[in-house]
Amino acid sequence: MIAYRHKIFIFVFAFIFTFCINYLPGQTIFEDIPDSLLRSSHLIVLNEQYDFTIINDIKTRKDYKKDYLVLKKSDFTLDYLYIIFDKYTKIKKAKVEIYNKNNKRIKKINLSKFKKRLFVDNGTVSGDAGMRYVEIPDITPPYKIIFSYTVFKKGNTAFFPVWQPVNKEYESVISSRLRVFDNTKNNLRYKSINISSPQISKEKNTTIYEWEIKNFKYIKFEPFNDRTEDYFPMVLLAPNNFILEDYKSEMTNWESIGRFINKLNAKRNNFTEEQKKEIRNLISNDDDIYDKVKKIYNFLQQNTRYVSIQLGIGGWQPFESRYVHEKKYGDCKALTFYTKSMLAILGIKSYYTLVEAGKNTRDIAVDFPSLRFNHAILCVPISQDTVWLECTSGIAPFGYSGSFTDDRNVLVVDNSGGKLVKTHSYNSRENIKTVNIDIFPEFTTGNAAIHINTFLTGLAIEDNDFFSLAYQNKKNQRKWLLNILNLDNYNIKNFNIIPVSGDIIPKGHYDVDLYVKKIFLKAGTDYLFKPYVFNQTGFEPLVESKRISDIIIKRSFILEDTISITVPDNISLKKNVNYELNSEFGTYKISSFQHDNSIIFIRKVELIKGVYPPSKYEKFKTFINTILKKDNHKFFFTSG
Amino acid sequence: MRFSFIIFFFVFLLYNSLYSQDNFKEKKFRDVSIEELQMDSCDFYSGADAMVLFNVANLYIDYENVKGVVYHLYVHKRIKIFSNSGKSFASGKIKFIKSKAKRFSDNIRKFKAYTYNLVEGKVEETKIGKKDKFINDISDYSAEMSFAMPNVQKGSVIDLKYEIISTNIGNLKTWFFQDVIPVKISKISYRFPNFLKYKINTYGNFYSLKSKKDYHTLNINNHTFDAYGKEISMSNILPLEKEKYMGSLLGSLSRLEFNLEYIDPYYGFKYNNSTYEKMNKNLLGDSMFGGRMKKGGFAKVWEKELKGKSQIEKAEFILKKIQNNTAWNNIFSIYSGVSGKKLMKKGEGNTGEINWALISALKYFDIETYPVIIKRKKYGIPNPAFCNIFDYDYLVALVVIDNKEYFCDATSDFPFGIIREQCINDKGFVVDENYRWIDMTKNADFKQSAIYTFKIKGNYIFSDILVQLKQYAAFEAYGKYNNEKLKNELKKQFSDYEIEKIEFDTINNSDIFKYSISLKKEIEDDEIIVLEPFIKPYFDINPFKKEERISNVDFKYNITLNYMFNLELPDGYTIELPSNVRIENEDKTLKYQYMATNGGDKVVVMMKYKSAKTVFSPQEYTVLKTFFEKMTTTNKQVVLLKKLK
Repeated sequence: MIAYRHKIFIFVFAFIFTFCINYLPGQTIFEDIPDSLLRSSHLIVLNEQYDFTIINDIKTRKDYKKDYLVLKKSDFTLDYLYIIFDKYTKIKKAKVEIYNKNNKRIKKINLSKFKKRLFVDNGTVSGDAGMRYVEIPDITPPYKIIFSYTVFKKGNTAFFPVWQPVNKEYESVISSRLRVFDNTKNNLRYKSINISSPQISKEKNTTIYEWEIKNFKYIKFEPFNDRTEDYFPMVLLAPNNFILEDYKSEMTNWESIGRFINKLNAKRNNFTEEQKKEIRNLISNDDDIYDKVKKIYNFLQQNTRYVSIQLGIGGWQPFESRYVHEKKYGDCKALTFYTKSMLAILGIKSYYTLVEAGKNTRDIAVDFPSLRFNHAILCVPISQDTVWLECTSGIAPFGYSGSFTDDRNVLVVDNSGGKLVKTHSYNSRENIKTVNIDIFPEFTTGNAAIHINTFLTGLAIEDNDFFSLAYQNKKNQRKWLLNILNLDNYNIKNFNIIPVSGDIIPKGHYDVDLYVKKIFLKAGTDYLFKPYVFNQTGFEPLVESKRISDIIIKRSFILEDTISITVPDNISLKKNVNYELNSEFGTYKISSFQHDNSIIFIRKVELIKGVYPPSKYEKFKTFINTILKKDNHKFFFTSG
Repeated sequence: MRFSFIIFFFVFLLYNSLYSQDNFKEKKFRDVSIEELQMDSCDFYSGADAMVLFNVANLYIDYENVKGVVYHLYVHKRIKIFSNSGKSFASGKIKFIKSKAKRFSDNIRKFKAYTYNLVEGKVEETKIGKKDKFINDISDYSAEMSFAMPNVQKGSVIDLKYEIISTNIGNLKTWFFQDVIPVKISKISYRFPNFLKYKINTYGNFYSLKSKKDYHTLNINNHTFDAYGKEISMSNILPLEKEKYMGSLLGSLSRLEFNLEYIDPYYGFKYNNSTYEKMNKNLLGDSMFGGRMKKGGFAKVWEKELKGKSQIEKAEFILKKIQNNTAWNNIFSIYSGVSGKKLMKKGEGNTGEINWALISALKYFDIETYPVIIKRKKYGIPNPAFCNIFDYDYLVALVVIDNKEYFCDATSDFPFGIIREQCINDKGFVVDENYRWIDMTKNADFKQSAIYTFKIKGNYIFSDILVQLKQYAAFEAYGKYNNEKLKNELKKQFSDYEIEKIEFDTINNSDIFKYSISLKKEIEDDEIIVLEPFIKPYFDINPFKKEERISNVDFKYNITLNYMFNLELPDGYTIELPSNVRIENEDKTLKYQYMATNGGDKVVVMMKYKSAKTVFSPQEYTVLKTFFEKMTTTNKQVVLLKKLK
């Protein structure tokens, strides 16, 4: 029996003890973190738990919690934490807690206090899709955030999560875990990338899959490789059977996904008789198939407007063709389907195609069928060729989609279902920038009148968005030129921007007349000039000595320059140059010569698309750094 | 003959009448025509993404039973969207005074807005919904109503109108004629009773400024008062474009400002804060302002740690302590209603709360400190002739140690003496018995010194560069250093060389930042060696490309650059030195000097640049452009080493 006074003592002691626990001197948020992770990480995930539950055929659930430390603020530091909701997804609960570096909690926000923002859809605020979010105050790092939430999804099981516990540079992870609870009979497919296979266990009727990473040290991207799956662990998840928009389907192979799309698109081609007549009148019977398709595409571009409704949020079904014809607008699905329907009226076969679009997007995992696409285009087979039509652009040349959809696997949907096809990969002859410059120097001042003629072929029309420039006014065009010319202290006298030609490998052209001050630098009695700086590669010097990831040259290209300087009789080039560098990555060539009163400089750079192993790094480094060094070559003009 | 003349006359009128300043009659609200919807470009500024068709306001003084004397601002605005990029102009913000006492809050009434589209030849109207408007707090006493129009497309016309009723007659909203999109017509009619004397001034560029109509009477509460007023309009107003080194947008736009100069006491009502003297007195007597000066007792706990420290060390310590224990919640204020102890416990606060904790703590330890209230740069410069308390929503501490003045801000991790860029704006007001204005740019120094030591050895050029940054140059570099941005920038800057080593010497939260770089480059042609003494200096290319400029040029800081290049002349070579240059502008606020000397076996090139003020007017632009042209071309000069035969 403990005496009463002893009980009080124990009680008081216990109270003081627990009180002190919360205020232990020296306790910070850095406890137990290895130094190697602390040193250069911008962010450290202390503990992340992602639980994805497939409750039944139509319902799933996500329980998420993440504890992380922000050590250094960068461009990627989030200003706010958010959870997206839509007509299928409801947020059940959520909480954000912020701790300062002394591990004192300075903020706690529950779901009811989260702010709300609705997604604006073509200027209309859509009632059911948006996000709940919390703004993070401007605290000096280090600080800790604990973010947790639960969402339920009903009526849409087509999109299972992609788990990427880390996908940015300078982010480390102490512990992160994904668990999938499958209550259905074997409805889960998965693909583990840069991580070992999951631990699978069974508990009554539930199959549990578990992946975990521990002590992942931050990564710093290496130049010439931005493929995150070369660096980071990732798990792709997808169902075998799914429901979406009241449609039930399978996702086990690409063919079945194609069949699902056919289901969605069925009966949407419903032109009225009058509309059909109108479409038939657009072409003449003498036209060959190529011309017919071109005329329909032209009609599409002139008469419709693209309106951005993201795939997945606005629904997966395209607008009915009758509707698009009347309203004259649609999103990528609607416009693509509309074009397909118009061609069908003329008896021309074409295929609705799903694509993961973007200039720097990774290709889809071909061995993992899923609905991970963000765009639709049209595939039109004409004779032995395939023409890919980008139906959302009012200015794209016929058959050109460029870096947005090039060189990747896309899902072409035909009558029997879907199949993967690779889109066109532009070779170096289809990506050329040619610059011809005529210079008339005044050696007394070092100034010069310059005429620049630039020709762009194929992908090169996307150079600095030249593509859309011809459709802008003179003022914007002049602004564009002022920004992209790699010169200082000059003024533009005259310029011409010619619209891009309408071919599958389009061509673009512009020329400029300028007057530049001090382009020839006085060096004693000579003049200094750098001719190879007008058509830049954009490379940066390679400085690292080690290499971990593959070297990727994404697209082949050619740069060609011819610079011609008209000089008086007494001026000549002190020394000529004739240099050539050949390698498996490409070639580089510069030369110069003088012919009477003309001094000519020639340059050609060609890079070949490819993926090269890290063992080739030293050779590649020499190749790139030599180009950069030689591009800076200085010539001396001497008098007498 | 006469008939055709009449037809011609009417056609002529019709043709000119769509919007012409002389015949401009404000169109009825919601009466949007097919012509307006069919318009596909701006007739006086090609390539516009959107334009204001008209912006009309009516401003007059009135009387309401409960509120008393109020001003009444009625606005009707019509906007046309030409392109997809122009859709963002279909949303807007209206800033207003929001006080805890409802009587003193501005009241936005009857806000109505519609989007119009041409659909199959017919005019289709969409009304703004409740969800499309929301209110954000900016500070303790100001907020803004943001709205986003629904169903906006290329070609849409937005028609909106609203009224503001406000008792803040000393804070009449500035009327902006100009915008960042072209404005066809902007017109304001104002009418004030003689007993309220307003000084009315136009600022910025004029675009067909017309002053019509003189008003002489005003009916208030069934009484007719002698009054004054005008109808002022501008038309075909070019948009203010974004330029390099642009300071305050609002401070550059063409506008009409109203300042209440005098109230005739005969009518027996007072208006507070009408002079700076009055404002100063009121602030000093306010428990949430002057009353906070003696509340530094919470800092007593640091007494032990501060023992033996110098004044400056004490001030730095206190500043750091408050910075480390508080986070700014993005709200602006000059007041504080919480004790320092409570603030530190909560861990977050607004600018007033955090900096009052700083000021009172500094004063507690006998460090000479004053509160300075500031008008943030984005809203323009303060008006020394007319006092409007609502202009000032930021508070910093002015610390005086050994006769030197420092500004301090504890809302973020600023080193001692460094403050937020938005606060480095013209003048701040020091609230004190002996109140005064203080130049906020006086300590806005950006100093960069670099020593480039070159050596030629064997077949290589070696270079050791020592860079020292001070004040704001250090502060900005330190920010970039933390994000790995600085290292990448330096790699780019010296991409012509092989970088052997980069070493940073940083002390956390200090106003000095040093680093050193070692470079080397193989000599291509040893007959002529070309050396750029200053590799990509701070002003590398001329930022002023255009011929003219409408807005001020604001460099943010007083910039001082001091570069020195030295080279030991290698045997067997002669030197060709670059030319000396010295330029200065008329009032000597810009100075540049470039000098190359050859003393025996050493070559020294020196470059100095100094700007003594942060803001240059558009009138000074041509001189500025020429100055920079000369400077950037001179900086590109080279040192030539020629091998002796």
